[in-house]
Amino acid sequence: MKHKVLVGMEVHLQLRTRSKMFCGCPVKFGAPVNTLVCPVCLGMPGSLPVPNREAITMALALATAMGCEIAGLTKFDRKNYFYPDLPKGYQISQYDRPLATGGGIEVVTEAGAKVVRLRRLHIEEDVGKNLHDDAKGLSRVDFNRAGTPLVEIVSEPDIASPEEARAYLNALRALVQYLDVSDANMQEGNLRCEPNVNLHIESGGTIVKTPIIEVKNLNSVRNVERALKFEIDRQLAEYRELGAAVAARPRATRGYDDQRDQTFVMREKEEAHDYRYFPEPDIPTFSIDDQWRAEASARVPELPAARRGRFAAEFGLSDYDADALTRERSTADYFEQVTAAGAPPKPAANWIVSDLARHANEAKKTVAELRLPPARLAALVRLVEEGKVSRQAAAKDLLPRLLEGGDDPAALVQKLGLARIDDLGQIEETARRAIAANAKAVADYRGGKQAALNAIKGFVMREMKGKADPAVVEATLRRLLA
Amino acid sequence: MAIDPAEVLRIARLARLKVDPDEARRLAKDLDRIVGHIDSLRAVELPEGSEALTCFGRDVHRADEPGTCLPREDALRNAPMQDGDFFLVPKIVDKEEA
Repeated sequence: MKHKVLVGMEVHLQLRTRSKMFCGCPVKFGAPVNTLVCPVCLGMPGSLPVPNREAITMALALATAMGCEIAGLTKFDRKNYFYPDLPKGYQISQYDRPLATGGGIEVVTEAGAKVVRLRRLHIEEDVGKNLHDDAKGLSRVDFNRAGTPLVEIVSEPDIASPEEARAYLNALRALVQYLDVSDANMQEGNLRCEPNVNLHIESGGTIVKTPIIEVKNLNSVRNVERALKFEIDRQLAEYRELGAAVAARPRATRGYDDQRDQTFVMREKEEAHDYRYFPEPDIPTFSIDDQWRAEASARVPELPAARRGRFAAEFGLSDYDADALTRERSTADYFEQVTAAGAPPKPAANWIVSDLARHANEAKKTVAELRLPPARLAALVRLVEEGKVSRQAAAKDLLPRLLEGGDDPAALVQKLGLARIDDLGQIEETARRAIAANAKAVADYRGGKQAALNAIKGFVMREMKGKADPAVVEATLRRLLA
Repeated sequence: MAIDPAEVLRIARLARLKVDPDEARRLAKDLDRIVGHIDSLRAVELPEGSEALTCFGRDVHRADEPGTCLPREDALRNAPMQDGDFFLVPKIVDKEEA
């Protein structure tokens, strides 16, 4: 069925300020419940909110980095609704005068690069947290998070696939980490996103639009991708069942259940929400003057896309390596430190993107958090490039020792007996033994199965404890088997 | 803008207020007069280029300095229901997030 997927993304991002948006309560994760509260964020009568200038500057830096148009005059509004995590009965947000409009985020997928346009960016305050206690029929409320500064970023429905949604979130996350304005961690809830998705289905010369569905409960980028995949299939199935009548179904909010990998109806929107927005009378209007804009612009560093391009051009890296290195700012910084310490860039990139990234993943850390001094990695890379130790032995035996705190790669190579074996006689002798011991693989290889050589090669590498150069081993085997 | 009893009932529902039909009729009449009065402000002509988005002052903000918080017992003191750590409220079924 010919159809187009339209996804718009609404992202809430907690800004990394020291204090809350409208009061001085510290912003901290994991403090004892209801200890980071004061009359302002509890909405007590007579208290007055005063905006945190730093939060606005951070939001301006982000808006600048995304090429948004920054408002000359901006104001806060009250968004009224009832919910126990909202002590005032309204949220201070921005309605018709958002801090910024327009702009875009470049996303890269296998389909290529494209810009997802943005609709607006505004500041608001976070709400408290509810914990539901089914047994007692009560909910418990913790207001530590209430009043934390948030930036809401709303995209146009330019995202055309679940893969693009993932790329969009990754690009946005990289951007805010480069700007150092948010931790942007979905698991910890400092980046929250609500995609809305519908389909335009072509049917006999007309376009049938499925109702727009907003998806909630998404706590990882992977789940965003999975939820959208499910939702697209579900909407297609609904169209097959109802035909053009699907367009008359109500818009709805659906939650995502990651155990079942499906979405479920939370509520249907028969009418648009009426939040009765009105200007926040307690907070005067803001003018964003040139000086403030300049202050925000000065905080915009070289951004991931620019750095990716520079790495590819300056160091001759592949697009893949350049992209992998620049996704985290700290990883890109680390790579530059390693090359500055004398490592040739291409192999250094390869060590970071493959080996260090794997160790980092296992330890649930970033590459930089592994705290391997750049000079030490540079020394290891040079030892391998100079042929003093094989790539395999260095990865398997040397790197783990360095990560445990070993400090002199060259000395460790001697101490651990890892020096590469370049003695061709020894390699050939081992190769002959391998051929004798792997009759079946030898027969397969001679019968034309190239892959069978790997088994024999593996035997040699094991016998020589990974200290031989695999390319030399392979050449020797091919010669002996020819 | 005219306020009729149906509008009163709609606003009452949004504000979680119970209003019976008789009250709604009375309130509609009163509110209609009040809103009509406010509407007369539209007749005021503003000077060209003036743009006051809110009433008082301009550019009031604070530096990002953490201040002091309320002790928890004080924060919870006036809550209708609490357990020493949390505010307690009747269980919420449908999560409507901002």
